[in-house]
Amino acid sequence: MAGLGLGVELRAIARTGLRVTLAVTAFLIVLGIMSYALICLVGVSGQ
Amino acid sequence: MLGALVSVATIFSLGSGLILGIALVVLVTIWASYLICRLLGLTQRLSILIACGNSICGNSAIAAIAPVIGAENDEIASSISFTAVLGVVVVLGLPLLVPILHLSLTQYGVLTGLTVYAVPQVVAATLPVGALSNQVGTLIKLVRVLMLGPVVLGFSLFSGLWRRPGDNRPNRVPRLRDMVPWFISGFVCLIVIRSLGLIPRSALPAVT
Repeated sequence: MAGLGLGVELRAIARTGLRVTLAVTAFLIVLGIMSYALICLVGVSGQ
Repeated sequence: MLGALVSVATIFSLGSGLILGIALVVLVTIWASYLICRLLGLTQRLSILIACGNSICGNSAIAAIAPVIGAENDEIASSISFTAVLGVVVVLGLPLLVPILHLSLTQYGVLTGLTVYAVPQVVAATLPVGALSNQVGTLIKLVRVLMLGPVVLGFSLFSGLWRRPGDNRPNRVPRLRDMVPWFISGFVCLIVIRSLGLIPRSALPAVT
């Protein structure tokens, strides 16, 4: 995994950084809503 | 070693609805994440890496999917670095939802197991809240990780769709160890050992 760094160009990562951050943030919101909906639908309660 | 805490009966106690729900959430979120990434103009391969990394098990999923779709090092590094950093933000923010959403320990464990990026981050997000949340969250997360095998296999069937025109590398059939991370194999082995009653109850604290 560390060897991966040898083939990485920082400018390429910086170019996509903002869009990746936006995508992951939007995804996390969708995932959070879906997970909470599943908890309610399945009726998870517990302690 | 967390597998020693869990027996087959514990997994079935989650209920078939929840287990099917986890599989459904993984599949829907892979699709939703891919669409979001494409809408933001990211490449197909980077979109797939982010979708699978976030939906299944972080770095292990990205490392398993990358060779199957012919991803470049820049794409792998981008997907791992930004998602891992945002994963830390989630770990710090999730406990704040407990009082807001009035979550029980079990509910919080399920929510964490379903949303957090990597297994160690699930442990970090649940332990401050409670031991029950930790056990439930880890179990849910590891069930999510088990989805890696079918997903990698599915992508390998259509790997030609995502390769560059000049990429003549042969289609790579994923190996079993790519589809099932080593920690999942160990986890399943310990569950079987625990379920067979081979670990004395008195030895559990020392083992785990």
